[in-house]
Amino acid sequence: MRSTRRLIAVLAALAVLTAACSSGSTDDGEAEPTETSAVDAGETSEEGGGDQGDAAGDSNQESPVGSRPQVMIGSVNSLTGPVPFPEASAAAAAVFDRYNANPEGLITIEYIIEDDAADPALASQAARKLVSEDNVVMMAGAASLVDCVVNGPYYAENGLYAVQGTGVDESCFVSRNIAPINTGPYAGLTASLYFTSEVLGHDAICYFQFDTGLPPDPLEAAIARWSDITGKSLVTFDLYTPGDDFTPFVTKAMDEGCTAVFEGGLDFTAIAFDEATQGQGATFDIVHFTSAYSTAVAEAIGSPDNNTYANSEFEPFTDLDSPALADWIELMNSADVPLTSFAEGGYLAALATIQILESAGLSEGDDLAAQRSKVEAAVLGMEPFEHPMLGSPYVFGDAPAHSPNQASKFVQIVDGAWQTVTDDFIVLTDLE
Amino acid sequence: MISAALSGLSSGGAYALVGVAVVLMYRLAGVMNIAVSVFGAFGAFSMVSAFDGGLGLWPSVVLGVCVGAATSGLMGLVMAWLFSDSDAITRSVATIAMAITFLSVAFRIFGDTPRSFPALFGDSALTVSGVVVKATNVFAIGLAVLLAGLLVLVLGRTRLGVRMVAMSNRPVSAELLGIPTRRYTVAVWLVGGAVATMAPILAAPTRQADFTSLSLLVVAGLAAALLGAFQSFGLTVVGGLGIGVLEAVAVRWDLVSSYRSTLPFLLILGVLMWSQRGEVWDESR
Repeated sequence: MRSTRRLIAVLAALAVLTAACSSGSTDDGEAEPTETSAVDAGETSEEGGGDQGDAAGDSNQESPVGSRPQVMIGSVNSLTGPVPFPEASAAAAAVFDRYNANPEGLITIEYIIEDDAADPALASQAARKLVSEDNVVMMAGAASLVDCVVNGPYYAENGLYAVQGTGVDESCFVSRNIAPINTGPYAGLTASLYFTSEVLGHDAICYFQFDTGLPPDPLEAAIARWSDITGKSLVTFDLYTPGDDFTPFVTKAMDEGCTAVFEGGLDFTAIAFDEATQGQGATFDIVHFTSAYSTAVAEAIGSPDNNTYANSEFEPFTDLDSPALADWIELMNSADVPLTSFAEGGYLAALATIQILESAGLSEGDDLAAQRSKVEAAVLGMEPFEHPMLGSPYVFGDAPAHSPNQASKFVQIVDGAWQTVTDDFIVLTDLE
Repeated sequence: MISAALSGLSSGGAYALVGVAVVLMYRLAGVMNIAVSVFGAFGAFSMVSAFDGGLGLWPSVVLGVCVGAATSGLMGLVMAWLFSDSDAITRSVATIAMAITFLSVAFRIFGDTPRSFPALFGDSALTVSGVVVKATNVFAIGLAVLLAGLLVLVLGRTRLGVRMVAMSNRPVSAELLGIPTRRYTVAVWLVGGAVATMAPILAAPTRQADFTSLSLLVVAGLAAALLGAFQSFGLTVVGGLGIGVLEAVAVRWDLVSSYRSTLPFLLILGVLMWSQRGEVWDESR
């Protein structure tokens, strides 16, 4: 019996130890070395030229282009967790890599990517590490479920600004110190509903939203904005939790007479929702958030019986012939970053950040305080960043809240691939 | 409302299968296995990994079921070796440690990204009251009913079944009489793991299938098992189907729709309180 108790104690300790080791990041918020291109890209950004470098966070790197002022840029991302977003920071890292290798660059950027695993505690630790230990002067290219809500006030306290690669929750769009490069779920929702009702011509729309645990108020505000523009309202708005079967929602939409459904989830929920829809023989059109807009989703769904659309916050990445995408495609392919909307966001956020940093007038002798002061001035007074991949100019500026990107395009699955169905961006500010 | 109820059968079949596995292990191995769905998810993710790697659909299913069964059987061996003299509560608590350990191992192996599962029978379906009931759902329900019936027959009408019941009621006496209790215990865990693996494989195609969500099928399975008093396979199957139907109907009722995932917990609470309604609440409680 005594030996059995010891064995039980050993087993329990083993279980706890394994659980502790299984988290996506260490206790101090550092990203563990993973197979993701985000970390690989983060590693390479410190040396430039796409070479494999040391682990993220190591600042002992040679500048390959002589003495240029070195600038530390940070990024807190949900690389692991229930809703992972690894591509945004990976794309930003690729942009910074290339910039560092360019002899005409004015600065050398050391880009540090941290993983918060969608855990608020880890996000907080990661931000504090970046600000206090790594001495970053701004944040760029991040995509996280919790970074904005957890760290927004902290960035504000420390006079730091964040050009988010992908803003997810409401906090990203109501913070003085954070300005996402993407349209975001709320403007994206309004644009998607507008597309569904005014472009596709549907009056009976059902909306099923993935329940992230965040308050639905911003979603309801986005719906109200659509109602104000169009004078229409939804037939039903329901939340579904992770693991919910979609069949009851599909039958509800059918019974309610909906001719279109907006499914507000991710890529995997889009596939599962399509499976449930096909299974029930439903004929309504389906529109998804931009997170469903990936080649994997199009290939998995194939040739749907239902017209299936998705929102694109930037120039649709599947429009490979689009001249607006040429540089982005080449860079992402060379850095092994998947071609997704998140990668577009990271890429554009990094370019905008470079514009800001180059206009800051940084010099080699600047200490941390001087660097941060100059960067703050550059952020608040920046010229609008324009790019053919963007439907609205991106500008940070000095405002209590930022949601500069109010534009969307839309794509449809045809024979296992996405095709662009809107020639021009739908710009919400033009409609109000 | 009928269409709403019928749309719940897809989940109900999975809950019934998990419930049958839970009752099987409770009755014959004397353990309320919290980890049974973790083993099942392990097998299911092995299946989808093999399928995504190029293995055919049904060979992948067989592989997944074998992995789920083997994982469960291994833990059954550990349980028979270390906890053969322990009471049911101790064994059940040990399964919590197993669940945590295997969740951590699974995250290392499979990650925590959801996977897209193939439907076993494609788009094959029949239509009842205007609602399409997929062949997958019919298979899940049929499998649960078949297993429940088979287990009732085996345990009640065969020598093997009698021995296994004896083993679960009086393990020491059974062992003294020459019944290979350790072997039978492992066999129960093997069968339980195999049954539990079929549940996520059948349920996953129409939901976001990440490892955690599939592991949590055990909650509804426990509720179903409770409705069967952890004794009746038939009532457990009915209970599992009923929970699936209830969740689907709740989608139509705005007042409770957002809280429908708590229904199994409320059911567990309600049944436990009902079962204790005749007890005297004196100072000993």
